[in-house]
Parts: sequence; structure tokens; C-alpha cells
Amino acid sequence: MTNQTAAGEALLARMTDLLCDRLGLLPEEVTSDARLREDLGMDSLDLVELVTIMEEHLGGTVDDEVALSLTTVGEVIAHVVDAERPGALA
Amino acid sequence: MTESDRRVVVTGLGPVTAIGVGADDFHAAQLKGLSGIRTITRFDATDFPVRIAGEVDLPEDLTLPPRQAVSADRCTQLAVAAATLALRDAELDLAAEDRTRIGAVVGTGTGGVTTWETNSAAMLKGPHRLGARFIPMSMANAPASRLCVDLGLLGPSSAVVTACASGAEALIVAAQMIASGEADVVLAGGTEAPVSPMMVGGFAKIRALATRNDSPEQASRPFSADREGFVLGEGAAVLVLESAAHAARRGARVLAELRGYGRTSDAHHVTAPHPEGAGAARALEAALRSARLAPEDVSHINAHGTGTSYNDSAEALALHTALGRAAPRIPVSATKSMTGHSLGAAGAIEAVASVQALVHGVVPPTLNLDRPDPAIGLDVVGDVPRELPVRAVLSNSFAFGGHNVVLAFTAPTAA
Repeated sequence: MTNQTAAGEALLARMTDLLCDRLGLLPEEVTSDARLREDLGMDSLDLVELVTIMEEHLGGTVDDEVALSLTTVGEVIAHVVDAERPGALA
Repeated sequence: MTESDRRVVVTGLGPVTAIGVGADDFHAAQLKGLSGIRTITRFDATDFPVRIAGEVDLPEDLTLPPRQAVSADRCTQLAVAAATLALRDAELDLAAEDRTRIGAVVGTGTGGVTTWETNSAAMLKGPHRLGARFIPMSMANAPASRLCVDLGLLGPSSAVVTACASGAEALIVAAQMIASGEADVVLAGGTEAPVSPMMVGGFAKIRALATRNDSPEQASRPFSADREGFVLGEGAAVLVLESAAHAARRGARVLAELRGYGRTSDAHHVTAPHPEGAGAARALEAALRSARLAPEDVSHINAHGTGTSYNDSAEALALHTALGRAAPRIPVSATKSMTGHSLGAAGAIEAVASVQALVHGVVPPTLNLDRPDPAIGLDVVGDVPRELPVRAVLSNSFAFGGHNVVLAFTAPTAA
């Protein structure tokens, strides 16, 4: 559990950097409960870019269905943590 | 309902260049004869045969915030800055206007090349690595579209792609929208952000560029005997064009009239101009006819003047052909000696310079003319600006592809 939290925090920091760099977001906006569309103002192209960022990070693909289900930064992080578990992408 | 006086007037100027940003700065820089050419900083050009270019330093208040900047190629960012400046200069309050009657036409030679280049690099890792905004950021109509979206312009909008004539031709397209009654106001101009590895490398490859890497400010030498090519320069310019009736109704300050224009094609070669400047001469003659001007009415010529061997000699021949005995007496300037060549923005930047020559009664200098080419036979104004009454100016833009565009501006006249 502790390990998972630490991993989650490290990942949040890394994803925050990527989201700021690639989507022009401000670090203070990128919180776990920030909603992608409503709070961060992301449009359909931003969401595609977000998936691209996730895929680059994971070195694999993110299913469209999964991508469409993500609504908050926290869910994005959780998905990446989940996908990074050994064997998850096999 | 359209209004009766459909003459096209200029009411606002928004230049964004390597020598100055905004009408006042740009004008002052021209009169001082500043060079905007420097060692390239936008990318590491160490291994390139050409390592110099004109680069724009955008002030903070004209720089898009990160959230907006990530969706706009550099060429669009420059166009947005130019439009912001032009609107400010024209004191046009969009909130008080019928925006269905306002349009935008922005020319560009190549569109979002930096976006193309970064995505080409990403593509090497596979198509899934392409950026989501690759297409919308690189398309040549992105700058025009961005102006409409940001400013809520609901009238006609378009992009013009005729290489180095794009910016001048955009003004013609805009003028036709106004003259036909399709729009009352059009933000018109050009933009280019060519200081990128592929563009610098590509133009260097065909030996079009000057290679004075150790003396950047001396590299752009239009009409000089020792000219050796042009120097790329970032830039954009947007002008506010409106019908004379609309300008009068809102009490706008009228800077000049876009009185006429000429367009022709060389039908000769994709990069080399016709050796006698035949196509350019016909464009000049067409511009004079369209503006109802005789050669002796022309006070000043803003030359295309790139500083390539081919262009400058063909352009001089064209001017002699079209203007005859008047040609050697008309003062000529080459803005690119200062700004570098901004390709699809150049015609719009030089339209701004032409209008400013009319407004201020001064012909700007041409840098690096210490050894004028004796074969040119024109009165090219050297280091020192020349004050004189300026009533009509021709601005030349001759492009790769053989597209020739000449704009004719005159001092504003009563209806």
C-alpha cells in the first residue's frame, strides 16, 4: 500500500510535468481530482494528446474504451499505475 | 446592407519583424537602418552551412500563454501578435462591430513547418506517436482560422499560398472581399516562421541563402554588386483593410488607400525568375493600370529586393521595362536588407513599410549598399533615409513558382 502511494506520487509528479509541457497546463491545476474537461478545459484534441502522453510513458497502447472512460487526472494516474504493474501490458 | 464607397483603405498596421514589433518600433527601426539578422538561436545550427537568420523577439504581452501556445505553431503565434497590434493600431472595437462583416486572410509560404518537423521526428517511432494537433497546427490555413476563432470573426476567411508573394496576395484577396461587398473589414497579411532545420537546410541546399555567418548584419545585401543570396527571417504582418465607407462611418484614421494591384505568372521556371523580368514587368504594368497611375506618379518603390543575383537583376529589368524613363528617378528600398526574407509574410511586412513611407513622407534605407551593382540602374536609397513627399508607392513581391504580385498604395483621397 505504501509502495503504491509512493509510486502514485512519483507518477503524479512525472505526469504533471508532461501535462504542463505538452498541454500547457499549470502545475497547480494538475491535481488528482481535477476534471479533464470541466476543470482543465481539455477538448477532444487535448484528450487524444493525453492518451499519446500515456502511451509514450507506458510504451504501449491505451484502448479507446479506456481512454474515453477517463474523466479526472486521478483516474489517468491510476490507469498508468495499473498498467505499469509487471505483466499488465503483456 | 453594404455601403456605397467600396474603395479599400488601410486603417491599422501590425508588423512583427526581426527589427521591430508594432508600427512605431518597426518604423523607427527602418529609419535607423537596424539589421535583425543574427546567429540562429531557435535551433542548434552548428552543423549547417547557414547559421544566420532574422528572429523575432516577441514582447511578453504579445506572447500566448502556455495553454494557447501548445495549440499554435510559431507561424500562428506570430500572426496572432500581428493581428493584435493591427487591431490596436486601427482602434477597431470588435465588440461594437457586426462581426459577420469582418473577415481574415492570412498568407503563408509553408505554414507550420516546426510542427511538421517535430512530428516527423516523432513519426520515426511510429504513427501512434504523432501529436494530436499535428494536422491542425501545421495546416497553412491555421493562422487565418486562429484569428477568426480568437476574435470571433464571422465573415469570409482564407489563406493564400503563393510562396514569397503570399502576404501581398492576401491583401488583394481581402481587397476583393471588400470591393465586392462581401465584407466591410478584413484583417489581412502574412506570416512565416522559417527558422527551422528543414527550411534553413532546404534553402541552403539550393544555394539561395547568403553564407556570411561571421557578419550576420552584412549578409542581406539587395542590389549590391557582392550580393550572394537572401537571409531567412521570421515575421508576420497584419493590416486592417476596410471599405472607405466603413472607415468614414466609424471615424477611423485612414493611413492609405490600396488603390490597385497587378498579378501575373512567369510561366518560366519553378525557382528562377524570367531572366528579363517579363512577368514582373507585366505585373507592374497591371498595377499601374489598376491604380490609374502613370509611371511618373510613382513616388517610391518597395522592391522585392531579396539579395539573390537572379532576383535583383530581373527585378531591375522589370522596373525599367514597366516604368520606362521614370524608372531611374524613383527611389527604391529593399526592406529585406533589414528584416531578412520572411517568405509568405514579406509582402505584408513590406506593405506596412510602403504605407509608412506614405504616411511619414520618408523612404527607408537599404542596408549594405556600399558597392551598388552598376547593372541595376535604379535609385536605390542607401544608408540614409530620404525625406520627400510620397503620394504613391508600388510594393513588389515575386515568388518561387513564378507568382508576381504588385500592390499600389496611394495617400488617402476624398471620395
